[in-house]
Amino acid sequence: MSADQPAIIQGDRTVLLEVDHPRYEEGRDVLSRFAELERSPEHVHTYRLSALALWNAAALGVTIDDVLAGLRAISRYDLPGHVEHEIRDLMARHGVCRLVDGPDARTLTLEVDSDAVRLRLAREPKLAALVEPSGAGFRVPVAHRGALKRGLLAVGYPVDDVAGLVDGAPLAIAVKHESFTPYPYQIAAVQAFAATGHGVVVLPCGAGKTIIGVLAMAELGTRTLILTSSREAAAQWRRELRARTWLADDAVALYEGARMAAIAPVTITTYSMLSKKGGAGATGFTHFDRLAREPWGLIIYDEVHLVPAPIFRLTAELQARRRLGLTATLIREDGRETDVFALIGPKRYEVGWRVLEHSGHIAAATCFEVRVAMPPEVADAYAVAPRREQPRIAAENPAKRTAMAALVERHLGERILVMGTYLDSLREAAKALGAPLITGDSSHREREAAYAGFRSGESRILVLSKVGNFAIDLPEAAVLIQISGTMGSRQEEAQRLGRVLRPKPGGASFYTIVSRHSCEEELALHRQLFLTEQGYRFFIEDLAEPEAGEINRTAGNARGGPSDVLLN
Amino acid sequence: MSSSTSPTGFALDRVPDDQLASMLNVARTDVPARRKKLAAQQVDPAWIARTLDALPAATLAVLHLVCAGGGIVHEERLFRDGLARFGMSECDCRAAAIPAIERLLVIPLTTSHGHVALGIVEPAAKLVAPLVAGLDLLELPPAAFVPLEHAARNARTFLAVCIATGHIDIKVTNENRPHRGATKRLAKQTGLDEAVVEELLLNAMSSGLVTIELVGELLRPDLVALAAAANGRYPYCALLAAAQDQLGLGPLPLHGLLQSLLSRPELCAASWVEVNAFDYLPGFVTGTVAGKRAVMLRVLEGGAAGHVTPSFEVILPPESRLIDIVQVGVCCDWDRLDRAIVGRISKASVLRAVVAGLSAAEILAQLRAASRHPIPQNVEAAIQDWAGSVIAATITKGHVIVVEPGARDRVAPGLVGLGGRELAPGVFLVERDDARRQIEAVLARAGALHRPPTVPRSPMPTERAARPASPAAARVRARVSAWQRREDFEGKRDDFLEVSRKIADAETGTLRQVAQQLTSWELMRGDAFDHEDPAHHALVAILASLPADTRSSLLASSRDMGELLRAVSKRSPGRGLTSVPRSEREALAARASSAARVPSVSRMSAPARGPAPPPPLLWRDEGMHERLEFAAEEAESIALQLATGVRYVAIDRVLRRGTTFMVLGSDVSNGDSVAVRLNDIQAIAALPDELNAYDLSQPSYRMAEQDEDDDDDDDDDEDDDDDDDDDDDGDDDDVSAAFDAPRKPWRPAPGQVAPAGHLPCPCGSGKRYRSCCRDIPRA
Repeated sequence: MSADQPAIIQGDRTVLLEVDHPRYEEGRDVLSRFAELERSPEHVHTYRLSALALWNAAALGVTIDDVLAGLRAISRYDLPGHVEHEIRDLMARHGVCRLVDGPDARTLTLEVDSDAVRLRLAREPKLAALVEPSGAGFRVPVAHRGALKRGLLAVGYPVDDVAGLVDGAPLAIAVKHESFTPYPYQIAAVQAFAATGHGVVVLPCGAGKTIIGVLAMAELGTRTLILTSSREAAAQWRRELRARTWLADDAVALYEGARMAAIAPVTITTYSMLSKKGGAGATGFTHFDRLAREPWGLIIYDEVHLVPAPIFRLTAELQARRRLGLTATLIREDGRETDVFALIGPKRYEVGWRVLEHSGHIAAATCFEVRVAMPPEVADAYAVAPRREQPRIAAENPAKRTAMAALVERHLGERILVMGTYLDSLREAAKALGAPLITGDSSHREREAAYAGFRSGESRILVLSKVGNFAIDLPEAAVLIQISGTMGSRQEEAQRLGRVLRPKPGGASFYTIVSRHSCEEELALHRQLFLTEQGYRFFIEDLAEPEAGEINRTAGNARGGPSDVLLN
Repeated sequence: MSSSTSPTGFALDRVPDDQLASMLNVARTDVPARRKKLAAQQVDPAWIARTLDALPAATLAVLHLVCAGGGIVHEERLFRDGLARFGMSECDCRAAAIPAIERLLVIPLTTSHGHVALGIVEPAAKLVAPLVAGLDLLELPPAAFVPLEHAARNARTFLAVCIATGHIDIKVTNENRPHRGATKRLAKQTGLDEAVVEELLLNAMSSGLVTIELVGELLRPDLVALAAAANGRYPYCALLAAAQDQLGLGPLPLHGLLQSLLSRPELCAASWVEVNAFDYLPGFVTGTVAGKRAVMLRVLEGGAAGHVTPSFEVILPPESRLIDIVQVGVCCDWDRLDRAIVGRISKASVLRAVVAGLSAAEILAQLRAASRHPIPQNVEAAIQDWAGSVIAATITKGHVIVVEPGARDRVAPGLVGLGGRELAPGVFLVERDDARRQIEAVLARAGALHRPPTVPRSPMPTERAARPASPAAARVRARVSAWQRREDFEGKRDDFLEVSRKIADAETGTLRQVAQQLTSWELMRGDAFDHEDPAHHALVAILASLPADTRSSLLASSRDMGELLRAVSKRSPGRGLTSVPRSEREALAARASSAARVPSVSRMSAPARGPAPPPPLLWRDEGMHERLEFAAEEAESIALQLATGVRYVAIDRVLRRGTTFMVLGSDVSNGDSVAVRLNDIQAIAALPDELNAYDLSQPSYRMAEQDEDDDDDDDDDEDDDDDDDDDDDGDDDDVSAAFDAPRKPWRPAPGQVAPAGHLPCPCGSGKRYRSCCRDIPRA
């Protein structure tokens, strides 16, 4: 043992790195090359030598010896033998399968270095259906490019895809450099992506991922299809493109609605639009078939963690195009991260949330969990309700309105977002606060008007349902009060925090109101996992016990003036 | 590790053509030719050598194990040996076997018992076995495999395994060995090999660090012994204490030490001491001194080196103190016992620590002592909250069916098919109110329908006055009433029964009749008076002085004790009752005036405030199990502090199945039949020591269907009668069931439109209409 080293390597291929250690930075630099940062709380960061991370490293030219030497240099104890064996085994698998250009434009060649894999390819019916034996390798129809990569990854062999990518129709995109200066990490992210032409960039909310998309488009100079999670996000992309580039207005089109489905050199559409079934095209998805015919050179997947399953299938058809995925939280509750790796690309660049917070690129946020008791009548209903209905009862706890009023009072003069999942309680909250409410039922025009009002300061508070979780750019918001959430979704918690992370002088506050002694407490714990693992701390506050009948009185007060409820 | 025995494998000739075709992915017609070629290859040393060279090291390890196992090895054994010897997980073993299968060196077999085995192919076996055995795995890179055994058997892991015996229930077999299933679970939880865990547990039992809890025959950590061991001392283990005495500070030859220990008459029975036993006992260290294996005592050192993260993780690096492992292990679950021990703090783990006798402050102090940095505020707040957690039980309502173990398997599928779930082993809950007949049918089909004793339903005093309150509920109300008058009731339960008996014995004639009349009135109203109170004597005396009809009308018109007191006290001055002592009359007047202010029991559905906040429940007390059982025997009640407040449940039966306590009884506030599921932690925490803590200021605990139940009383009479009849047979049946009365389904009135199926049912059950009343057939 040597206390001079900052890391402890565990038998399950996790690496614990002490942040307070004098050689922490050395350890971080070593690990960042081939390990995945899993958790980064205050004092100990956890990295994982996952298969994907090791293959990513191998793809970037890191050798087995580099990895082992790096680990030995930072490890306080001997490297566990089986970990070394596993690293050797896993990294040796990278490059076993290489996808290269074939004899003609419609065919690729899969080169396989291992007899075992060759045998497996020939035997596994699903894989065998995608390839045709050809000498020592296999011929692969271009259409099977994505499916084959996915299939081989599933059996533990990543495909080194070095086959050519379609350049797409050229499009000169000039960036308005005089209007803004990209941050160094944005430039680094674009360079990391451009080196291979496909991959995912992971940056915190508010760190300017759209800018990275714009810069990538300018770098590649090609026609681009941008896929977003909502119409609002699509509109936001168009705003950004107009603000940051010299593209003519008619060069950017929103592809939305059957009648307004316009295609331009830069076309922005939504995942739901793309996955609409119909038409007589090859895939059975009418809009996809139409868009796939265009000579795109780059496809940008905004909020790549939200890509719905059909899009993965369709993306398998687009493997010849350059693909850029953007996200803040590369976690999927459905566990389809491997599909993102295989079909969109490996993670090319990532910066931790707290790193950007320390460097001032995103706002410093303080997170609170405010616990409120349920009034007796609600608590009774909660106690006897079936388990599946309990989350809703706890989420709609009327005492939360009191807490919300107190928090609004606490942040007088700041712009506040109130977010929740259950519409009834959101309506009541909006009514109590006299604030506009945006839900899935709100029309596009209503939403834009509400956002504009909030940006201009006309309304200080905005109440949002789940539609506000992603890709809503409201830089003025400094406080977010979450009155309910979708069960234990970590990704939702992080995305909601992201709504208030645009840099601002006073920092941001993030409140989650939770019913005490209900399932919400445990769900909140799970929701907070991602953020606590990113280094955020949650402070727990207790709201004073409500008296019987107090809730209604206080809610009434909140409409008219200050609340009489104090937080401890 | 090398093996010179030649294994006997599975002859290639015995592999059917179609299986071979499938394995080689060739047409069946090509199989004979391939078989011929293979037969030639497998006796060719050069081909075998080339093939083995091309195999990964892990595959060689699998081949080694297959050969060492005699040529055919069961999958289970392969995984066990792979993990124990090479640190290969089950998944690794499977993956490693594939290249060997693909080269037809081994083939997967299915035994007649349905087990999977790997067999080495016969022609190749003779050539493969010497090469693989000769490799002895030393020719592989030395770091290719690390036997986990050594890593797992150190003092830190040993202590962590000992403390983990409190995390899950580890049963003990008749031979005083840990039950295999439990060992398996513990191995899974800690990430250790099952055999290692078992060995560590046996040593822990021998050295007195874990003890067998006689009642449940479970292993439990002895926290005091573990804490002492973490400091290198074994005060409760004579053998180890003697070893420490002999060692002093110098090294002793290991065998010499064992010899001297075993020669001592008081220790000679301790045959469990083995040479390697000292290897991982904290405080002892073994090594080589002058060429001889020796043992010595080690002074344990170290400082706080752990970390507690805001995501409730606790990380104890190898340099942390042993005592920290013990103390942290009490209040968290182990995620992984590796170089750094990783644990996780959860609500269950904190409650477990509370049951073990720790308070929130003590838990936090232990975590602080182990941690290099302050505890994150959210963790601190959560621990404080959990340690004083008030969610102590879950009350469920529906048909509760108690099945004896013998009939459980027969009945379970049918009940599950009715939407039932098993609350505890052998205790099922079917929440559908309309399922009674179907349940009976299921039980009858399973030959398990006997007499279902009914859980007594205590009626609401005002709304169900026609039905007598259960004695248990009445007694609880009496206590509550006493508390409301701010009297100390502690320890007087037996006294008041005795006093009332004395009164009954002492008084004769009218006085005695009045006392009986008053008692039955109390039972009818569910309201009671403290018989020890002087005012009670006055009340009885005044009532006795009244004419019989006046007395009856007075009692009949008084809905609760408050009204009765006021009515009686109005009459007493005019009557000039000189026989009633002045002090008693004054006491009665005082009670009557206070009854006007303090809400009585019968009006408890209206929110009201008592004169003082109730005393807090005691959450930590030892011997709660016994008290719970005692309470059940005495038909007493337990107080449960739930999220919704304090509830009293009059106990009908208490069942313990495995680690789960089930209390069947009735909620005394509204008479609903309830099944209270208490897991071992929560049950202990749920039973208060002071029964006078019932807070009546809480509103009535009503089920949503209560009103409908009341309306349907007439319809349910028949069922109630059935239940009453069933009571006669007692509890000797091997199956018993308790049923609630079925609820009348909601039907749309003429002209009224039924809601859509997905909308909430109008009956108020909270379920969707299609899942509730829509599909219930009309009677």
